[in-house]
Amino acid sequence: MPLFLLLWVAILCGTIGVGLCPGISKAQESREKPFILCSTTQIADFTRQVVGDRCTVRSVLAAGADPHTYMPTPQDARLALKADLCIENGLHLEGKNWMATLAKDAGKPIITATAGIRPIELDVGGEKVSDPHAWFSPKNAAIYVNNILAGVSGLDSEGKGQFVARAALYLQQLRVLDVWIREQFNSIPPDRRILVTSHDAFNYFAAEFGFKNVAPVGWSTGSELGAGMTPERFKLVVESIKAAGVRAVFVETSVNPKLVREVARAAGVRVGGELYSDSMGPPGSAGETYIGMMRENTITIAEALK
Amino acid sequence: MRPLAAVAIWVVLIGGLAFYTYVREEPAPAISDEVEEVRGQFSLRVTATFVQEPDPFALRVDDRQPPSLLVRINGREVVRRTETIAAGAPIVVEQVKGFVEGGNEFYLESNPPLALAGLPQAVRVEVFQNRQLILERCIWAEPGWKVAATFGIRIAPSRELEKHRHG
Repeated sequence: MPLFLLLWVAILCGTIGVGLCPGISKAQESREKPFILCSTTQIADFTRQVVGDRCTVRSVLAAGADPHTYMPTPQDARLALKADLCIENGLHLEGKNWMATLAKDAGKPIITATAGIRPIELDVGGEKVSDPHAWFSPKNAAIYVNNILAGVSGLDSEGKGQFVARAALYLQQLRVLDVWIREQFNSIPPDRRILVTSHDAFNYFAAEFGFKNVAPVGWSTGSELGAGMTPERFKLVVESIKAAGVRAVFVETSVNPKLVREVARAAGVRVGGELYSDSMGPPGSAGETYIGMMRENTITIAEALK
Repeated sequence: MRPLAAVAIWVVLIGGLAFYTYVREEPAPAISDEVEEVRGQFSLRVTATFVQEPDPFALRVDDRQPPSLLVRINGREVVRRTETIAAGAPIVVEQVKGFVEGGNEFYLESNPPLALAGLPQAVRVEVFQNRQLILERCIWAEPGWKVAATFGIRIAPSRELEKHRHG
């Protein structure tokens, strides 16, 4: 009898032990995921595409915010303290290097997503500056993705295989996007491929897809570097729009549209639509992802210039 | 008697389970990768209808440049070019290693420029054994895509070749 009782107790203990096992794995699952803080919505989207659910990804900038003029808040500093990795665009997109400052103050590692990109040099008031809006070329977006992959692989060595597989898939989606954009613009005659936007955000896009880019404001929407419209430049832009036979001009989601509307009125052309530029669209909008944003911009431009 | 019967049943059940686990976890016999390379000299000629250039959408997991032309034989990389190669210029590779007697897997990847994304592109592949053409293929790709394909090449055993020559 005691032997039978002993066996019964052993089986009971074993069953309880097995029952506890899922509890242990749940506890492991609930361990905090690595936290990645990105400066812009585009970089946050690229990072999410690479890491999937294995990391928590946040963007300092909200949809529609302007990275050139942004001033970090105490909440951003708290997020930086929580971060395991910070990712910036670089090339001075973040006005006064606010993202690098946030990471430095919090003592966190930071990577620059544009590392290795050959920048377009702009002449701003006699000064050469690198255009920071490199993501507008899907080829450059692929460089962002590879840089992000290299950065996040060190955060979660167990997840590296998944990161690589996700990045490979996303790079192919970027290729498809690039080919699709080219197809859409094939139907626009070369002499109509003139892109007039609020500020010089579309140089990479223009260079990649055969457009001539005209921007009334300048390199940055901020006040720190060659920004601002002068009466001479306004006149020059209006005259060049008239002379080139521009069919439409475009406003941007992250820049006040007032100036472009004034230019359009003065030049007698219509506003072709609103383009996503320094920031993607809010959740639920067509431009809430990088691919969605590029697709929407392409449709808007192609419809207006055909 | 009953407790003993219960113990016996449990021993059979647990023992069976332990035996099954042991059998299941026994490592499968390793597949030998020591396959004998076939004798003879192999060479390749690859000719593309387009300028071959490094793929801008390549995954970069190491410091190596993405290839403009890549050939693998049985998984072993035998050609890796990273420079831009002119359209129509044949790339000839002598002393190609990696072919074995019997079935071989041949993989080729070549990247056309994005500016030609609107057109289908093709690569012609010729494989020579002892200067004799043993395979000729034309690989086509949809507009915008890399030219990439895997196909099989059967290499006759050396004895069979000798027989063909003398018989």
